[in-house]
Amino acid sequence: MIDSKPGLDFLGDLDSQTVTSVYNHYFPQIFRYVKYRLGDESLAEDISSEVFLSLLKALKNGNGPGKNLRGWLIGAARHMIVDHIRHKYRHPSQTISDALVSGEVGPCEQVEQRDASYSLRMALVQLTEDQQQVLTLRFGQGYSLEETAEIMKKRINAVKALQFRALNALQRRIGEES
Amino acid sequence: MNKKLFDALEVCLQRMEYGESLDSVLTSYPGLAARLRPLLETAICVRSPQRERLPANILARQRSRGLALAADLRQGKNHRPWLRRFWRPVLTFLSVAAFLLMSSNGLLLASAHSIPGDTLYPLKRSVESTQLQLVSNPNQRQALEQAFSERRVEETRSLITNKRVENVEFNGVVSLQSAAQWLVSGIPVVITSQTVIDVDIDLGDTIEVDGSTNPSGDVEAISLALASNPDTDDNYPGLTPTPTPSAEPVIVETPAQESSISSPESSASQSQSVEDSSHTTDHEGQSSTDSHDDHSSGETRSTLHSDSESGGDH
Repeated sequence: MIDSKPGLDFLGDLDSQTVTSVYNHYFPQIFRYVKYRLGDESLAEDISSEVFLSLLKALKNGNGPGKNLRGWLIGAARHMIVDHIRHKYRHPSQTISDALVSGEVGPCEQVEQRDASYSLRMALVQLTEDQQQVLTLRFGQGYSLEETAEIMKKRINAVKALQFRALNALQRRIGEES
Repeated sequence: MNKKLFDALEVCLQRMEYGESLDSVLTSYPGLAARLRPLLETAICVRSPQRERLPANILARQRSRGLALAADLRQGKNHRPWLRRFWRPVLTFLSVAAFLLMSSNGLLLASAHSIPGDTLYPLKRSVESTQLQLVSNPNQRQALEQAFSERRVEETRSLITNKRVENVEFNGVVSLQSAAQWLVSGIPVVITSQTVIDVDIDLGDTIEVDGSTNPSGDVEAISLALASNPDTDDNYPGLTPTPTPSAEPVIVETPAQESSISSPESSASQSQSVEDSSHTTDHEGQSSTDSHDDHSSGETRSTLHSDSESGGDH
């Protein structure tokens, strides 16, 4: 695993093999992270793509990750998600979901699924940024307590407490939504 | 208590992750089950249904994009990262400094070639004014004023060449005098009925011309006054002096017909000219009296050489 190598200076060479390895290993994780936060596959692809392109540029400029590549990628994705949400808040627009366009599910089923996921998403976005982050990393990404603590740069006990409060808050929000 | 609850939640979550049921894990914490159950149910809700594999086409597409960018970056890579990190702030600072310097210098340079009526002309005059204020040495100040004075003449010439109509003020030496037109530092100055002229102006005098350029290629004078002498005038006004003539100026009638340009020798007949100008202003009522008073005192007089005939015509 690339993260386990001492130092990440070798990434700055940007050779094809390294770039391929980085994409193969981390792109699915970042894509899943973004999709969990935003619930939109095409948007997840766009943002994930931007995250990786910015990684390559940062590596070229010597501003890339020092030790934790995954933490750097998730941090970048998190910033882009926040920017996207802010932009969307200022310029609201209604989009047709990919599933509906592709005809994978019928309109009625789509509405039912969307109602459930919409309620959950509405409840999620009302949590604090840290609470959303811990739920995404633990339940969206399936990262362990230790991995989550490393990415969030918090102690394990702090993550445990944060996770408890996040689930508690989400449960209340879901109740309110329904 | 809280820590115990947090730990219990984490253990339950891990066990469920490995496939145990909700009821099963709660049996280990009968005292906390009521608190833990809704949280674990919520965790099941939010556990990603999207753990599926990323569609292969998306990964392939994005990987290709990344490889292409990496190739471009590799080709353009000519700095070591640490070197680039060091030079970036330096280059940023230098760029900003160069921009500020070039934009301000460029503006000043452009204004230096401006003439009256141009947008940057006020800036040019302002710079000159500042330069004068910064000079404390009287000799240097005088030289600077002389240089600026010559600039005014050049600006007027440019306006005439370009057939532009603008208000002008400049100092120059009178080289020719006639009833209708003077020549001041080589610039033709047209005298009209409204022109106010100092009485003591002779050929060779340095005068202040206030007027406006004409498309016909000359300056229509509003006033012509002897220039202040910085050596003798305590109240030397500086760059754009306001004439403070020692004698009251008199409005001179424009001659009905063009007369010959006066020669230096004609100054000898100045007393005659004074008589003539008195005649000229006789028709002006009060100004006639003033002229006579001035004449009798011998202090000031209106000058319009070789115009005796036209004055008599009135």
